[in-house]
Amino acid sequence: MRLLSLLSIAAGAVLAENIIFSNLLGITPFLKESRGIRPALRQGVTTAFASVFASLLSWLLDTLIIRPAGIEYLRSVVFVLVAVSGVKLAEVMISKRFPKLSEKLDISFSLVAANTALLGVMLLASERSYTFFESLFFGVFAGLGYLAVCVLFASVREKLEYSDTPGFLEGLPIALITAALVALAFSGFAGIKFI
Amino acid sequence: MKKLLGYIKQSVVDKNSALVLLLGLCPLLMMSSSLLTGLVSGAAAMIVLVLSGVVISLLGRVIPNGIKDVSYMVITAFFVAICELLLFAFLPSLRTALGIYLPLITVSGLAFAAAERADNATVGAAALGGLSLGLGYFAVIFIMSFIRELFGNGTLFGFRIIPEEYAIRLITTPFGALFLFGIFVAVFRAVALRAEKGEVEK
Amino acid sequence: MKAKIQEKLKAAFTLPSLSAEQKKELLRSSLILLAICASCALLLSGVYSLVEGFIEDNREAPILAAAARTLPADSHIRADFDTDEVNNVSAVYEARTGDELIGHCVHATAEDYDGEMTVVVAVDKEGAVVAVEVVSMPEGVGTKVRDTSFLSQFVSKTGKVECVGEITDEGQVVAVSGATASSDAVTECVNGALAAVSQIYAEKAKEAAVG
Repeated sequence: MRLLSLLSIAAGAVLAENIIFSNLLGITPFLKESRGIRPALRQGVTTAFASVFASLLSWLLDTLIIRPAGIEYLRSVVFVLVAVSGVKLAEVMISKRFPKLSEKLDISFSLVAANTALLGVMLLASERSYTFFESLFFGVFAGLGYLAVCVLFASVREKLEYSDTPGFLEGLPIALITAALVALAFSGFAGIKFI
Repeated sequence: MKKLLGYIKQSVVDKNSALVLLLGLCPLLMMSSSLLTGLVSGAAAMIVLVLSGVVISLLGRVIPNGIKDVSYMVITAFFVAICELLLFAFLPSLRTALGIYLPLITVSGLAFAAAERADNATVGAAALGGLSLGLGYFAVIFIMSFIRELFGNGTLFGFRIIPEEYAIRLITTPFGALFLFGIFVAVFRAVALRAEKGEVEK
Repeated sequence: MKAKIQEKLKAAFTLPSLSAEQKKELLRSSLILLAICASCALLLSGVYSLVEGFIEDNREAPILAAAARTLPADSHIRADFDTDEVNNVSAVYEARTGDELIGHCVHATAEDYDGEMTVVVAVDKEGAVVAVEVVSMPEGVGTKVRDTSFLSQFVSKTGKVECVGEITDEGQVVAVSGATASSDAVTECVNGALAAVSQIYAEKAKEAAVG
């Protein structure tokens, strides 16, 4: 049963409860970077990469610090602090040690700064009281879901460029409306559980 | 006074934080499903942006450049946490309705932009910057949550206005949020464009 | 080849050497950040202690409301009653009509399939279940356990209840098909409640015997 619930979490994170289309997490960079497949890939991979650490981090903090000390009301402050510091640390370490990798990825402060994805993943995992493995699965698959959707939407936007959009809908509005439709499509996955 | 109004108009209408600058979209879209949550979210955002702006402008000089962004985020998180606590204490059902999205104001583009404006600014400028960002957000979320609750649920503040059979449930979902926001941006642009044309022709 | 990889890995995880100036800078930054976080935490805990009472009241409200529903019309609940740690039980309230003790309402919790379930169990003076109400439970498959058809099985049960597929004995209830975990959780709550109440009466009997 445990394995099945893990699979449910995984499936949910990618499909029915995709963090973008069900929770609109990280939607600003999603919209901004979907203009081309390369930036979308970059954004998606970086966020996916970070999302694994984010959810594990939230599990760690919840289990070791927040629950024992009973400081649930400080939860968001603690999460923000740790997430931001973590990203900064990763940025410094990766850019100095793996310069080629840091060129390909985009681990900068903007991962946390104008991006609700990371903190959102942490808060979701914490709210749903995920165990270690559940957090791990959630982080991995939420990230993969984000990546998949980013790339998917980038190719959709490419198609939009070539289509005949009425004047005032061009660019962002039609992208938003299309995103809405994709979100609607994804919500059709609801109910895929492995129980 | 006129200058102040002009400044506010410019920042809420011409460069609206949500519609033009695309800031704070995640909290905006997810907390606008009912009028009450939208208003509370808007009010909270304004308070947080102004207060954190003030504190940031005061402390900005003492904080070394390396940790500026981290500290600014912690300060914003602090004010958001205070709002959360107050809501937990006095309006708990509302707080649960807002879910994870209230704390996300901390990491939204809104807070980031407010921090940027407050950095190295006077207290007044910082407060004004935060206020204008917050007002833009508030205006948009007010309109959106009004429409979404009225046509999506048939109610306003919980009071039924349109019979349940005619309410379009879809509007209250993320789909509805994105769709409505897309139309909102389109209409906004069209109106702005026409206003610009009108001015040029004058 | 292997040596090269080892070298690279080593280089990756060693900290860069800093000049004295840089170390000072780092120390200063860390201290300032620490100060900011500490003051935020302090201020927040201050605000928290101010509003703590309200938050607790809000948490209790639905429980108390549910408890009131399980009792006859003109009775009331008397606040908090200390019991020794009994599994699953968060609080026990005395139920009185006028001044007369008619039983207890127990706020119990148990682990359900997807999260935590909160249940109120009303127990009369003889230690038998009067009513069970599910206050909150995680959304999902098991919500059928909130139906009276399931919950009414618990009425008049005493001692320990067992949740089974088919009833073969007195102290058993039938689980809701397809919601075994949730049925078990409710049973756990009821058992915890019954245990807590019998403990209270045992204590009272002891006191009476001594006094």
